Amino acid sequence: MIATTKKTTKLFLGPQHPGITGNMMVELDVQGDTVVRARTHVGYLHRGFEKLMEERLWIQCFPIVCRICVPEPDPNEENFARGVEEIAGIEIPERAKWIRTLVLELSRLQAYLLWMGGQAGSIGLYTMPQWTVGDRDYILDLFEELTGGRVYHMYIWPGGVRRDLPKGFRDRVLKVMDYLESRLPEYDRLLFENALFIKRASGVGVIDPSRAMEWGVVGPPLRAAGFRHDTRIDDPYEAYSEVEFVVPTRTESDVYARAMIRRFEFEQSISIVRQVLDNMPEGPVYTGIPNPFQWRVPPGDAYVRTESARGEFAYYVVSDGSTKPRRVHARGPAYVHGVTLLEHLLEGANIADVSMIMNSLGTCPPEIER
Amino acid sequence: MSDSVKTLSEEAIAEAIQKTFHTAEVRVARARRIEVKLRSDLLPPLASNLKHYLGFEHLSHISCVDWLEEGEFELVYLLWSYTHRVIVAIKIRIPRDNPQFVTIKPLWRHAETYEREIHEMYGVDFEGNENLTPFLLEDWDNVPPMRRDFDTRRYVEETYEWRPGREEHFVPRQVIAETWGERWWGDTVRGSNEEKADQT
Repeated sequence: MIATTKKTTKLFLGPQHPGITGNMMVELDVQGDTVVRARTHVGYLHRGFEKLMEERLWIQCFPIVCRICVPEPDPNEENFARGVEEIAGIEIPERAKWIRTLVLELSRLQAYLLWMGGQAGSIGLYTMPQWTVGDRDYILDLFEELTGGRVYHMYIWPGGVRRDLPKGFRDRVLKVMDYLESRLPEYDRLLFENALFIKRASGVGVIDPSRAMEWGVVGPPLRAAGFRHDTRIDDPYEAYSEVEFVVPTRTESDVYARAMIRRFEFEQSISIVRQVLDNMPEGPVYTGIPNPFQWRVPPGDAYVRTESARGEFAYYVVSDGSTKPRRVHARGPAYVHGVTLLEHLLEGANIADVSMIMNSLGTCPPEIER
Repeated sequence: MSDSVKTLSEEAIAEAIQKTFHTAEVRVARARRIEVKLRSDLLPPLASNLKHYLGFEHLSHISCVDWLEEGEFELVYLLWSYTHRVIVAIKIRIPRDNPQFVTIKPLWRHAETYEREIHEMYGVDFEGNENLTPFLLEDWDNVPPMRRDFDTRRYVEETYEWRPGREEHFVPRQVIAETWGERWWGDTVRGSNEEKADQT
Protein backbone atom coordinates (compact mmCIF):
# COMPACT_ATOMS: atom_id res chain seq x y z
CA MET A 1 0.00 0.00 0.00
CA ILE A 2 1.28 3.42 -0.89
CA ALA A 3 1.70 5.66 2.08
CA THR A 4 -0.07 8.99 1.65
CA THR A 5 2.12 11.85 2.67
CA LYS A 6 1.17 15.44 3.29
CA LYS A 7 4.49 16.79 2.17
CA THR A 8 4.22 20.28 0.74
CA THR A 9 6.57 21.28 -2.03
CA LYS A 10 7.18 24.76 -3.39
CA LEU A 11 6.88 25.16 -7.12
CA PHE A 12 7.73 28.38 -8.91
CA LEU A 13 5.86 28.80 -12.16
CA GLY A 14 7.32 31.54 -14.26
CA PRO A 15 8.25 34.40 -14.53
CA GLN A 16 8.17 33.30 -18.17
CA HIS A 17 5.58 30.83 -19.26
CA PRO A 18 3.36 30.12 -22.25
CA GLY A 19 0.07 31.80 -22.79
CA ILE A 20 0.90 34.95 -20.85
CA THR A 21 1.97 38.22 -22.37
CA GLY A 22 4.57 39.49 -19.95
CA ASN A 23 6.41 38.14 -16.96
CA MET A 24 4.71 37.06 -13.80
CA MET A 25 5.64 34.41 -11.28
CA VAL A 26 3.16 32.19 -9.51
CA GLU A 27 4.43 30.64 -6.33
CA LEU A 28 2.61 27.37 -5.71
CA ASP A 29 2.56 25.19 -2.62
CA VAL A 30 1.70 21.72 -3.89
CA GLN A 31 0.81 18.45 -2.23
CA GLY A 32 1.17 15.75 -4.83
CA ASP A 33 -0.49 17.22 -7.91
CA THR A 34 -2.78 19.55 -6.06
CA VAL A 35 -2.14 23.22 -5.38
CA VAL A 36 -2.89 24.10 -1.77
CA ARG A 37 -1.81 27.72 -1.82
CA ALA A 38 -0.92 30.14 -4.62
CA ARG A 39 0.68 33.55 -4.50
CA THR A 40 1.29 35.74 -7.51
CA HIS A 41 4.46 37.77 -7.70
CA VAL A 42 4.43 40.66 -10.12
CA GLY A 43 7.00 43.40 -10.52
CA TYR A 44 9.18 42.05 -13.28
CA LEU A 45 7.87 44.63 -15.71
CA HIS A 46 7.13 47.66 -13.59
CA ARG A 47 7.83 50.61 -15.86
CA GLY A 48 6.36 53.47 -13.89
CA PHE A 49 4.18 54.73 -16.73
CA GLU A 50 1.85 56.60 -14.40
CA LYS A 51 4.72 58.48 -12.79
CA LEU A 52 6.23 59.18 -16.19
CA MET A 53 3.00 60.74 -17.39
CA GLU A 54 2.97 63.22 -14.52
CA GLU A 55 6.17 64.65 -16.02
CA ARG A 56 4.88 64.84 -19.60
CA LEU A 57 2.67 67.25 -21.52
CA TRP A 58 -0.85 66.00 -22.19
CA ILE A 59 -0.06 65.25 -25.80
CA GLN A 60 3.16 63.46 -24.88
CA CYS A 61 1.18 61.01 -22.76
CA PHE A 62 -0.77 59.82 -25.73
CA PRO A 63 2.01 57.66 -27.25
CA ILE A 64 2.76 56.26 -23.77
CA VAL A 65 -0.65 54.90 -22.81
CA CYS A 66 -0.91 52.35 -25.61
CA ARG A 67 2.26 50.65 -24.34
CA ILE A 68 0.50 49.69 -21.11
CA CYS A 69 -1.17 46.63 -22.59
CA VAL A 70 0.50 44.56 -25.30
CA PRO A 71 -2.35 42.35 -26.53
CA GLU A 72 -4.80 45.20 -26.88
CA PRO A 73 -3.46 48.76 -26.78
CA ASP A 74 -6.51 50.46 -28.29
CA PRO A 75 -8.77 50.54 -25.21
CA ASN A 76 -5.94 52.43 -23.48
CA GLU A 77 -5.72 55.03 -26.24
CA GLU A 78 -9.47 55.42 -26.43
CA ASN A 79 -9.84 55.70 -22.65
CA PHE A 80 -7.12 58.30 -22.28
CA ALA A 81 -8.43 60.34 -25.21
CA ARG A 82 -12.00 60.24 -23.92
CA GLY A 83 -10.88 61.12 -20.40
CA VAL A 84 -9.03 64.20 -21.62
CA GLU A 85 -11.94 65.17 -23.86
CA GLU A 86 -14.35 64.88 -20.96
CA ILE A 87 -12.28 67.16 -18.72
CA ALA A 88 -11.56 69.69 -21.48
CA GLY A 89 -15.13 69.58 -22.80
CA ILE A 90 -14.15 68.68 -26.35
CA GLU A 91 -16.87 67.29 -28.57
CA ILE A 92 -15.50 64.99 -31.26
CA PRO A 93 -16.99 64.58 -34.76
CA GLU A 94 -19.53 61.81 -35.34
CA ARG A 95 -17.36 60.02 -37.89
CA ALA A 96 -14.45 59.87 -35.44
CA LYS A 97 -16.69 58.03 -32.98
CA TRP A 98 -17.55 55.42 -35.60
CA ILE A 99 -13.92 54.99 -36.63
CA ARG A 100 -12.97 54.53 -32.97
CA THR A 101 -15.66 51.86 -32.66
CA LEU A 102 -14.26 50.11 -35.72
CA VAL A 103 -10.72 50.19 -34.33
CA LEU A 104 -11.87 48.92 -30.92
CA GLU A 105 -13.74 46.00 -32.47
CA LEU A 106 -10.83 45.05 -34.74
CA SER A 107 -8.67 45.21 -31.64
CA ARG A 108 -11.08 42.91 -29.82
CA LEU A 109 -10.94 40.42 -32.70
CA GLN A 110 -7.17 40.31 -32.75
CA ALA A 111 -7.08 39.99 -28.96
CA TYR A 112 -9.45 37.02 -29.12
CA LEU A 113 -7.31 35.37 -31.79
CA LEU A 114 -4.25 35.78 -29.62
CA TRP A 115 -6.18 34.47 -26.62
CA MET A 116 -7.42 31.40 -28.56
CA GLY A 117 -3.84 30.53 -29.36
CA GLY A 118 -2.78 31.02 -25.75
CA GLN A 119 -5.65 29.03 -24.33
CA ALA A 120 -5.06 26.11 -26.68
CA GLY A 121 -1.31 26.30 -26.17
CA SER A 122 -1.73 26.12 -22.40
CA ILE A 123 -3.12 22.60 -22.73
CA GLY A 124 -0.71 21.51 -25.45
CA LEU A 125 -2.77 21.98 -28.62
CA TYR A 126 -0.07 23.73 -30.60
CA THR A 127 -1.75 23.78 -34.01
CA MET A 128 -4.19 26.40 -32.81
CA PRO A 129 -1.61 29.11 -31.96
CA GLN A 130 0.01 28.64 -35.37
CA TRP A 131 -3.29 29.25 -37.11
CA THR A 132 -4.78 32.01 -34.98
CA VAL A 133 -1.60 34.06 -34.74
CA GLY A 134 -1.29 33.75 -38.51
CA ASP A 135 -4.88 34.90 -39.00
CA ARG A 136 -4.35 37.74 -36.52
CA ASP A 137 -1.76 39.10 -38.91
CA TYR A 138 -4.49 39.92 -41.44
CA ILE A 139 -5.98 42.29 -38.86
CA LEU A 140 -2.54 43.70 -38.06
CA ASP A 141 -2.10 44.35 -41.78
CA LEU A 142 -5.28 46.42 -41.70
CA PHE A 143 -3.97 48.32 -38.70
CA GLU A 144 -0.69 48.93 -40.44
CA GLU A 145 -2.47 50.42 -43.41
CA LEU A 146 -4.75 52.55 -41.26
CA THR A 147 -2.36 53.75 -38.57
CA GLY A 148 1.18 52.93 -39.66
CA GLY A 149 1.73 50.60 -36.71
CA ARG A 150 0.94 46.92 -36.37
CA VAL A 151 0.66 46.51 -32.60
CA TYR A 152 0.87 50.01 -31.09
CA HIS A 153 -1.22 52.34 -33.18
CA MET A 154 -1.19 55.78 -31.54
CA TYR A 155 -4.20 56.49 -33.70
CA ILE A 156 -6.96 57.54 -31.32
CA TRP A 157 -6.00 60.84 -29.75
CA PRO A 158 -7.75 63.68 -27.93
CA GLY A 159 -9.97 65.39 -30.47
CA GLY A 160 -10.74 62.40 -32.68
CA VAL A 161 -8.54 60.12 -34.74
CA ARG A 162 -5.36 60.91 -36.60
CA ARG A 163 -6.54 60.32 -40.15
CA ASP A 164 -9.53 59.15 -42.14
CA LEU A 165 -9.89 55.65 -43.57
CA PRO A 166 -7.72 55.11 -46.67
CA LYS A 167 -9.32 54.57 -50.05
CA GLY A 168 -10.72 51.06 -50.46
CA PHE A 169 -10.15 50.25 -46.78
CA ARG A 170 -13.78 49.26 -46.27
CA ASP A 171 -13.56 46.47 -48.86
CA ARG A 172 -10.36 45.13 -47.42
CA VAL A 173 -11.84 45.03 -43.90
CA LEU A 174 -14.92 43.21 -45.20
CA LYS A 175 -12.72 40.70 -47.00
CA VAL A 176 -10.81 39.93 -43.79
CA MET A 177 -14.11 39.63 -41.88
CA ASP A 178 -15.40 37.11 -44.43
CA TYR A 179 -12.18 35.18 -44.15
CA LEU A 180 -12.24 35.11 -40.33
CA GLU A 181 -15.84 33.99 -40.36
CA SER A 182 -14.97 31.15 -42.71
CA ARG A 183 -12.23 30.07 -40.33
CA LEU A 184 -14.54 29.70 -37.34
CA PRO A 185 -15.71 26.15 -38.18
CA GLU A 186 -12.05 25.15 -38.34
CA TYR A 187 -11.41 26.67 -34.93
CA ASP A 188 -14.45 24.85 -33.60
CA ARG A 189 -13.12 21.53 -34.80
CA LEU A 190 -9.67 22.26 -33.42
CA LEU A 191 -10.56 23.71 -30.04
CA PHE A 192 -14.12 24.51 -29.07
CA GLU A 193 -15.62 21.14 -30.06
CA ASN A 194 -12.46 19.21 -29.34
CA ALA A 195 -13.26 16.41 -26.88
CA LEU A 196 -9.90 16.93 -25.22
CA PHE A 197 -10.54 20.61 -24.54
CA ILE A 198 -14.12 20.00 -23.37
CA LYS A 199 -12.95 17.35 -20.94
CA ARG A 200 -10.01 19.36 -19.67
CA ALA A 201 -11.84 22.67 -19.32
CA SER A 202 -15.24 21.63 -17.95
CA GLY A 203 -15.68 22.05 -14.22
CA VAL A 204 -12.22 23.60 -13.83
CA GLY A 205 -11.56 27.05 -12.36
CA VAL A 206 -15.16 27.62 -11.33
CA ILE A 207 -16.01 31.11 -10.03
CA ASP A 208 -18.89 30.95 -7.59
CA PRO A 209 -21.56 33.20 -9.21
CA SER A 210 -22.94 34.27 -5.84
CA ARG A 211 -19.54 35.72 -4.94
CA ALA A 212 -18.56 37.10 -8.36
CA MET A 213 -19.43 40.68 -7.36
CA GLU A 214 -17.48 40.45 -4.14
CA TRP A 215 -14.42 39.31 -6.06
CA GLY A 216 -14.78 42.07 -8.65
CA VAL A 217 -15.11 39.77 -11.66
CA VAL A 218 -15.67 41.56 -14.98
CA GLY A 219 -15.88 40.77 -18.70
CA PRO A 220 -16.20 37.27 -20.17
CA PRO A 221 -15.68 35.53 -16.79
CA LEU A 222 -18.61 37.52 -15.37
CA ARG A 223 -20.81 36.68 -18.35
CA ALA A 224 -19.82 33.02 -18.05
CA ALA A 225 -21.14 33.19 -14.47
CA GLY A 226 -24.57 34.19 -15.74
CA PHE A 227 -24.55 38.00 -15.53
CA ARG A 228 -25.55 39.90 -18.66
CA HIS A 229 -23.24 42.85 -18.07
CA ASP A 230 -21.21 44.57 -20.76
CA THR A 231 -19.83 48.11 -20.52
CA ARG A 232 -20.64 48.67 -24.19
CA ILE A 233 -24.34 48.42 -23.29
CA ASP A 234 -24.39 49.48 -19.62
CA ASP A 235 -22.26 52.60 -20.02
CA PRO A 236 -22.33 53.23 -23.79
CA TYR A 237 -19.48 55.17 -25.36
CA GLU A 238 -18.46 56.14 -28.92
CA ALA A 239 -21.00 54.66 -31.38
CA TYR A 240 -21.96 51.52 -29.43
CA SER A 241 -25.46 52.75 -28.70
CA GLU A 242 -26.15 52.68 -32.44
CA VAL A 243 -25.05 49.15 -33.26
CA GLU A 244 -26.87 45.95 -32.40
CA PHE A 245 -25.27 42.95 -30.82
CA VAL A 246 -26.07 40.17 -28.41
CA VAL A 247 -24.35 39.77 -25.04
CA PRO A 248 -23.98 36.04 -24.46
CA THR A 249 -24.17 34.44 -21.03
CA ARG A 250 -23.65 30.97 -19.65
CA THR A 251 -24.09 29.56 -16.20
CA GLU A 252 -21.31 26.98 -15.73
CA SER A 253 -18.72 29.63 -14.86
CA ASP A 254 -15.80 27.32 -15.68
CA VAL A 255 -12.92 27.59 -18.16
CA TYR A 256 -15.01 26.05 -20.94
CA ALA A 257 -17.90 28.46 -20.41
CA ARG A 258 -15.50 31.42 -20.58
CA ALA A 259 -14.02 30.05 -23.80
CA MET A 260 -17.46 29.68 -25.37
CA ILE A 261 -18.43 33.21 -24.35
CA ARG A 262 -15.39 34.53 -26.19
CA ARG A 263 -16.11 32.28 -29.16
CA PHE A 264 -19.62 33.74 -29.39
CA GLU A 265 -18.42 37.32 -28.92
CA PHE A 266 -15.99 36.81 -31.77
CA GLU A 267 -18.95 36.42 -34.13
CA GLN A 268 -20.67 39.42 -32.56
CA SER A 269 -17.60 41.57 -33.13
CA ILE A 270 -17.49 40.60 -36.80
CA SER A 271 -21.13 41.65 -37.03
CA ILE A 272 -20.40 44.98 -35.27
CA VAL A 273 -17.53 45.72 -37.69
CA ARG A 274 -19.89 45.17 -40.64
CA GLN A 275 -22.58 47.37 -39.12
CA VAL A 276 -20.06 50.12 -38.42
CA LEU A 277 -18.77 50.05 -41.99
CA ASP A 278 -22.33 50.18 -43.37
CA ASN A 279 -23.59 52.99 -41.15
CA MET A 280 -20.54 55.19 -40.80
CA PRO A 281 -21.42 58.84 -41.57
CA GLU A 282 -19.24 61.09 -43.71
CA GLY A 283 -17.54 64.15 -42.30
CA PRO A 284 -14.42 65.35 -40.50
CA VAL A 285 -12.52 62.99 -38.17
CA TYR A 286 -10.72 65.50 -35.98
CA THR A 287 -11.60 68.52 -33.88
CA GLY A 288 -8.75 70.93 -33.42
CA ILE A 289 -7.23 71.10 -29.96
CA PRO A 290 -5.26 74.12 -28.69
CA ASN A 291 -1.53 74.30 -29.31
CA PRO A 292 -0.49 71.00 -27.72
CA PHE A 293 2.76 72.42 -26.34
CA GLN A 294 0.95 75.01 -24.25
CA TRP A 295 -2.29 73.14 -23.75
CA ARG A 296 -3.67 73.67 -20.25
CA VAL A 297 -6.50 71.27 -19.61
CA PRO A 298 -8.96 72.87 -17.15
CA PRO A 299 -8.99 71.45 -13.61
CA GLY A 300 -11.23 68.45 -13.11
CA ASP A 301 -11.31 64.70 -13.20
CA ALA A 302 -12.91 61.99 -15.30
CA TYR A 303 -13.44 58.27 -14.93
CA VAL A 304 -13.98 56.62 -18.28
CA ARG A 305 -14.60 52.96 -18.99
CA THR A 306 -14.33 50.66 -21.99
CA GLU A 307 -15.19 47.01 -22.48
CA SER A 308 -11.94 45.43 -23.60
CA ALA A 309 -11.67 41.82 -24.73
CA ARG A 310 -10.92 40.82 -21.15
CA GLY A 311 -13.40 43.03 -19.35
CA GLU A 312 -13.84 46.50 -17.95
CA PHE A 313 -10.91 48.79 -18.76
CA ALA A 314 -10.96 52.17 -17.08
CA TYR A 315 -8.89 55.32 -16.69
CA TYR A 316 -9.06 57.84 -13.91
CA VAL A 317 -7.61 61.11 -15.22
CA VAL A 318 -7.09 64.18 -13.01
CA SER A 319 -6.06 67.63 -14.17
CA ASP A 320 -5.01 70.50 -11.93
CA GLY A 321 -5.14 73.05 -14.71
CA SER A 322 -1.50 72.84 -15.71
CA THR A 323 0.13 71.62 -18.90
CA LYS A 324 0.72 68.15 -17.41
CA PRO A 325 -1.68 65.62 -15.91
CA ARG A 326 -1.91 65.49 -12.15
CA ARG A 327 -2.69 61.80 -12.17
CA VAL A 328 -3.48 59.15 -14.75
CA HIS A 329 -4.52 55.85 -13.21
CA ALA A 330 -5.25 52.83 -15.37
CA ARG A 331 -7.46 50.03 -14.19
CA GLY A 332 -7.29 46.91 -16.32
CA PRO A 333 -9.30 43.74 -15.83
CA ALA A 334 -6.14 41.77 -15.05
CA TYR A 335 -5.48 44.06 -12.09
CA VAL A 336 -8.30 42.24 -10.32
CA HIS A 337 -8.35 38.89 -12.10
CA GLY A 338 -4.64 38.27 -12.01
CA VAL A 339 -4.01 38.74 -8.30
CA THR A 340 -6.74 38.10 -5.73
CA LEU A 341 -9.08 36.08 -7.96
CA LEU A 342 -6.34 33.95 -9.49
CA GLU A 343 -4.84 33.13 -6.10
CA HIS A 344 -8.29 32.09 -4.91
CA LEU A 345 -9.12 29.95 -7.96
CA LEU A 346 -5.81 28.13 -7.98
CA GLU A 347 -6.34 26.69 -4.51
CA GLY A 348 -7.31 23.07 -5.04
CA ALA A 349 -6.46 23.07 -8.76
CA ASN A 350 -4.25 20.55 -10.48
CA ILE A 351 -0.76 21.74 -11.46
CA ALA A 352 -1.50 20.97 -15.11
CA ASP A 353 -4.53 23.28 -15.02
CA VAL A 354 -2.76 26.30 -13.57
CA SER A 355 -1.78 27.97 -16.83
CA MET A 356 -5.14 27.10 -18.37
CA ILE A 357 -7.02 28.85 -15.55
CA MET A 358 -4.63 31.78 -15.70
CA ASN A 359 -5.25 32.17 -19.41
CA SER A 360 -9.01 31.84 -19.16
CA LEU A 361 -9.07 34.86 -16.82
CA GLY A 362 -7.15 36.90 -19.37
CA THR A 363 -4.25 37.62 -17.05
CA CYS A 364 -1.98 40.28 -18.51
CA PRO A 365 0.91 41.29 -16.20
CA PRO A 366 1.86 44.55 -18.01
CA GLU A 367 -1.53 45.88 -17.11
CA ILE A 368 -1.15 45.05 -13.42
CA GLU A 369 2.20 46.80 -13.24
CA ARG A 370 1.91 49.72 -15.66
CA MET B 1 -28.31 40.24 -6.06
CA SER B 2 -30.28 43.40 -6.08
CA ASP B 3 -33.07 42.45 -8.48
CA SER B 4 -35.58 43.86 -6.05
CA VAL B 5 -33.99 47.32 -6.27
CA LYS B 6 -35.84 49.55 -8.72
CA THR B 7 -33.78 51.51 -11.24
CA LEU B 8 -33.21 54.99 -9.88
CA SER B 9 -32.16 58.16 -11.65
CA GLU B 10 -28.92 59.96 -10.83
CA GLU B 11 -30.84 62.67 -8.99
CA ALA B 12 -32.75 60.14 -6.88
CA ILE B 13 -29.54 58.39 -5.86
CA ALA B 14 -27.88 61.71 -5.03
CA GLU B 15 -30.88 62.62 -2.91
CA ALA B 16 -30.83 59.26 -1.12
CA ILE B 17 -27.15 59.72 -0.25
CA GLN B 18 -27.71 63.30 0.90
CA LYS B 19 -30.60 62.23 3.10
CA THR B 20 -28.50 59.75 5.06
CA PHE B 21 -25.22 61.66 5.04
CA HIS B 22 -26.03 65.31 5.68
CA THR B 23 -22.44 66.53 5.64
CA ALA B 24 -21.66 64.99 2.24
CA GLU B 25 -21.33 67.23 -0.81
CA VAL B 26 -23.23 65.36 -3.52
CA ARG B 27 -23.16 66.45 -7.16
CA VAL B 28 -24.40 64.87 -10.37
CA ALA B 29 -21.37 65.43 -12.60
CA ARG B 30 -23.00 64.20 -15.81
CA ALA B 31 -25.23 61.36 -16.96
CA ARG B 32 -24.18 58.17 -15.15
CA ARG B 33 -21.65 59.96 -12.91
CA ILE B 34 -22.22 61.13 -9.33
CA GLU B 35 -19.52 62.72 -7.23
CA VAL B 36 -19.59 62.62 -3.44
CA LYS B 37 -17.16 64.53 -1.23
CA LEU B 38 -17.18 63.17 2.27
CA ARG B 39 -15.59 63.33 5.70
CA SER B 40 -13.13 60.46 5.72
CA ASP B 41 -14.59 58.60 8.72
CA LEU B 42 -17.94 58.29 6.92
CA LEU B 43 -16.58 56.31 3.98
CA PRO B 44 -17.09 52.76 5.35
CA PRO B 45 -20.74 53.37 6.29
CA LEU B 46 -21.44 55.07 2.95
CA ALA B 47 -19.78 52.28 0.95
CA SER B 48 -21.68 49.66 2.91
CA ASN B 49 -24.92 51.59 2.47
CA LEU B 50 -24.39 51.90 -1.28
CA LYS B 51 -23.51 48.23 -1.61
CA HIS B 52 -26.30 46.74 0.48
CA TYR B 53 -29.21 49.14 0.02
CA LEU B 54 -28.69 51.04 -3.21
CA GLY B 55 -27.39 48.26 -5.47
CA PHE B 56 -23.80 49.47 -6.01
CA GLU B 57 -22.38 45.97 -6.08
CA HIS B 58 -19.23 46.53 -8.12
CA LEU B 59 -16.10 48.23 -6.77
CA SER B 60 -14.54 49.42 -9.99
CA HIS B 61 -11.44 51.11 -8.66
CA ILE B 62 -9.70 52.87 -5.81
CA SER B 63 -7.37 55.66 -6.82
CA CYS B 64 -5.15 58.05 -4.93
CA VAL B 65 -4.15 61.59 -5.87
CA ASP B 66 -1.36 63.45 -4.12
CA TRP B 67 -2.26 67.11 -3.47
CA LEU B 68 1.19 68.07 -2.25
CA GLU B 69 0.46 71.81 -2.01
CA GLU B 70 -2.55 71.21 0.22
CA GLY B 71 -0.78 68.56 2.30
CA GLU B 72 -3.41 65.94 1.61
CA PHE B 73 -3.97 62.68 -0.19
CA GLU B 74 -7.28 62.24 -1.96
CA LEU B 75 -8.63 58.70 -2.05
CA VAL B 76 -11.23 58.12 -4.74
CA TYR B 77 -13.54 55.10 -4.49
CA LEU B 78 -15.36 54.34 -7.72
CA LEU B 79 -18.46 52.21 -7.33
CA TRP B 80 -20.61 51.03 -10.21
CA SER B 81 -24.20 49.89 -10.05
CA TYR B 82 -25.25 47.34 -12.63
CA THR B 83 -28.85 48.05 -11.69
CA HIS B 84 -28.93 51.84 -12.04
CA ARG B 85 -25.98 52.07 -14.43
CA VAL B 86 -24.35 54.87 -12.48
CA ILE B 87 -20.88 55.43 -11.11
CA VAL B 88 -20.50 57.02 -7.70
CA ALA B 89 -17.08 58.56 -7.13
CA ILE B 90 -16.53 58.99 -3.40
CA LYS B 91 -13.69 61.39 -2.63
CA ILE B 92 -12.15 61.66 0.79
CA ARG B 93 -9.09 63.55 1.97
CA ILE B 94 -6.57 62.28 4.49
CA PRO B 95 -3.59 64.19 5.91
CA ARG B 96 -0.34 63.66 4.08
CA ASP B 97 1.86 63.58 7.17
CA ASN B 98 -0.13 60.78 8.82
CA PRO B 99 -1.68 58.76 6.00
CA GLN B 100 -3.90 56.32 7.88
CA PHE B 101 -7.15 54.87 6.71
CA VAL B 102 -9.32 51.78 7.11
CA THR B 103 -9.69 48.93 4.66
CA ILE B 104 -12.90 48.10 2.81
CA LYS B 105 -11.77 44.53 2.22
CA PRO B 106 -14.75 43.09 4.16
CA LEU B 107 -17.04 44.55 1.50
CA TRP B 108 -15.01 43.69 -1.61
CA ARG B 109 -12.20 41.18 -1.57
CA HIS B 110 -10.30 42.72 -4.47
CA ALA B 111 -9.97 46.01 -2.58
CA GLU B 112 -6.96 44.24 -1.08
CA THR B 113 -4.98 44.62 -4.31
CA TYR B 114 -5.89 48.27 -4.78
CA GLU B 115 -5.00 49.12 -1.20
CA ARG B 116 -1.78 47.18 -1.49
CA GLU B 117 -0.71 49.28 -4.44
CA ILE B 118 -1.69 52.58 -2.81
CA HIS B 119 0.19 51.52 0.31
CA GLU B 120 3.30 50.84 -1.72
CA MET B 121 3.12 53.83 -4.05
CA TYR B 122 1.89 56.52 -1.60
CA GLY B 123 2.59 55.04 1.82
CA VAL B 124 -1.04 55.07 2.94
CA ASP B 125 -1.65 52.56 5.73
CA PHE B 126 -4.95 50.69 5.53
CA GLU B 127 -5.89 49.42 8.94
CA GLY B 128 -7.36 45.91 8.80
CA ASN B 129 -5.67 44.88 5.55
CA GLU B 130 -3.06 42.38 6.69
CA ASN B 131 -1.70 41.82 3.20
CA LEU B 132 0.05 45.16 2.63
CA THR B 133 3.17 43.31 1.49
CA PRO B 134 5.53 44.59 -1.23
CA PHE B 135 3.71 44.43 -4.53
CA LEU B 136 5.55 45.86 -7.52
CA LEU B 137 8.73 47.33 -6.10
CA GLU B 138 11.73 45.32 -5.11
CA ASP B 139 13.70 45.99 -1.95
CA TRP B 140 12.51 49.57 -1.72
CA ASP B 141 13.40 51.75 1.25
CA ASN B 142 13.04 55.22 -0.26
CA VAL B 143 10.07 57.62 -0.28
CA PRO B 144 6.99 55.91 -1.80
CA PRO B 145 7.64 56.65 -5.49
CA MET B 146 4.26 57.95 -6.66
CA ARG B 147 4.35 60.83 -4.17
CA ARG B 148 4.80 64.17 -5.88
CA ASP B 149 7.90 65.00 -3.82
CA PHE B 150 9.73 61.92 -5.10
CA ASP B 151 12.05 63.18 -7.83
CA THR B 152 12.50 60.38 -10.35
CA ARG B 153 15.30 62.08 -12.24
CA ARG B 154 17.32 62.78 -9.10
CA TYR B 155 16.81 59.22 -7.88
CA VAL B 156 18.03 57.82 -11.18
CA GLU B 157 21.08 60.06 -11.18
CA GLU B 158 21.98 59.12 -7.61
CA THR B 159 21.30 55.40 -7.95
CA TYR B 160 22.42 54.41 -11.41
CA GLU B 161 25.47 55.16 -13.49
CA TRP B 162 25.14 56.44 -16.98
CA ARG B 163 26.26 53.90 -19.47
CA PRO B 164 29.72 54.75 -20.83
CA GLY B 165 29.53 56.07 -24.33
CA ARG B 166 26.58 58.34 -23.70
CA GLU B 167 28.83 61.38 -23.16
CA GLU B 168 30.49 60.87 -26.52
CA HIS B 169 27.51 62.53 -28.23
CA PHE B 170 27.15 59.70 -30.64
CA VAL B 171 25.72 61.04 -33.89
CA PRO B 172 24.40 58.12 -35.92
CA ARG B 173 24.51 59.91 -39.27
CA GLN B 174 28.12 60.90 -38.79
CA VAL B 175 29.15 57.39 -37.72
CA ILE B 176 27.40 55.85 -40.71
CA ALA B 177 29.13 58.35 -43.00
CA GLU B 178 32.51 57.57 -41.42
CA THR B 179 31.98 53.83 -41.60
CA TRP B 180 30.48 53.58 -45.05
CA GLY B 181 31.97 56.65 -46.62
CA GLU B 182 30.46 59.21 -48.90
CA ARG B 183 29.20 56.61 -51.30
CA TRP B 184 26.50 55.32 -49.00
CA TRP B 185 25.44 58.35 -47.09
CA GLY B 186 26.25 61.29 -49.31
CA ASP B 187 24.36 59.94 -52.27
CA THR B 188 21.22 59.10 -50.40
CA VAL B 189 21.12 62.45 -48.67
CA ARG B 190 21.41 64.42 -51.86
CA GLY B 191 19.05 61.95 -53.50
CA SER B 192 21.39 61.81 -56.43
CA ASN B 193 21.70 59.30 -59.20
CA GLU B 194 23.06 55.79 -59.31
CA GLU B 195 25.80 56.54 -61.83
CA LYS B 196 27.70 58.55 -59.31
CA ALA B 197 27.70 55.57 -56.92
CA ASP B 198 28.91 53.35 -59.73
CA GLN B 199 31.79 55.68 -60.62
CA THR B 200 33.20 55.64 -57.06
